[in-house]
Amino acid sequence: MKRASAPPLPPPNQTEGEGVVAKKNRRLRYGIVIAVGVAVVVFLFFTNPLESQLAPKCFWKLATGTDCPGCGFQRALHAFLHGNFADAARYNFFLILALPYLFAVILSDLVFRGERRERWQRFTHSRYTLWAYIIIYCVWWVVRNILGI
Amino acid sequence: MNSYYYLDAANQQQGPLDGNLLPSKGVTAQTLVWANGMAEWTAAGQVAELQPLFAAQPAAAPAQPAYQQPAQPAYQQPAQPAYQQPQPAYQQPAYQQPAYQQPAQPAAGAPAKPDNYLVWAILTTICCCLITGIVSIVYSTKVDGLYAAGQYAEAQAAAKSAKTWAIVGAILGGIVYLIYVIYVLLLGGALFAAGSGSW
Repeated sequence: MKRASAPPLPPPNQTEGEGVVAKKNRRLRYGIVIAVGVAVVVFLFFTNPLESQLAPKCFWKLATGTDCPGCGFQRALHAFLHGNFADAARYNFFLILALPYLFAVILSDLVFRGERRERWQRFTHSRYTLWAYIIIYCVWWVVRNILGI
Repeated sequence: MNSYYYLDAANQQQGPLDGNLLPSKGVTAQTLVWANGMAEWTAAGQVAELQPLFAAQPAAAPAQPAYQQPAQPAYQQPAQPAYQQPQPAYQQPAYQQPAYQQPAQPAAGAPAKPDNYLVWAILTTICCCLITGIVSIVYSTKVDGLYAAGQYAEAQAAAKSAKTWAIVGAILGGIVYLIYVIYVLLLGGALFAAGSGSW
């Protein structure tokens, strides 16, 4: 007997895959999130936050009178959805940075797989990128209140 | 070099073929292999003869527990000499594409990189509870470093904190919005009428 045959195959490896239930849960969660996201976009398309009571007002601003870094987000989105890019930028400049980054994170975390995901995440999740975000965020918070933008 | 059987991506038994050829077939340190004389299927990275072929990938714990299990002492990859060694054995230019090992992907045998809910954290920083989002992102900055240093338990812990803060922020934001809607719509709160606040 020159060569013994290999022992029976081990059970399939569960390490990388999720269980079926976990996958369903994940799909459900993403489904809900996407639905909410779409609802928000649709809502802001049809309602002008300046006029509607349904658009929530910033609690930080109400409490302190100063802007928070996200103030103007709804107005900006509304203007953007109507093609009014100049106004959109004016309402919140930080979003020009934050929203593309958010989009990149969504792609790298939720959409891409494999090699592309690794490459993108090396950027989006890099310590430096994250700290840059935090610092720019805080600087913007201060600057926008000083300059009134 | 012995001849080995290996399990392909479909968990089908393949081979036998010379051990040197295994990497060219897509075999990694975690792929189960078997050669005459071995008691049972073993991860390639744990077969002494094959270890030089998978130098950049430290041996994996054969039993990889499920995806998210924060405290897993089983992950101790005690001394990873194979990982640090300069490995002159890299002289396999033909099929050993160093790029295949993806040096930037630290330990392929390590638990999958924790999901750190960055999307939620960013959203909370621009939509609602600002501080929770920032805290979450600060925790996120720690994850990569800890992961790369092989401190998987700590990386998991940091990722968990990041996730918790992000979720807390998102939920708080949701509650605040609900309260707002109730106050305005049902109680006719005039305080929050358009013009007196900012959005």
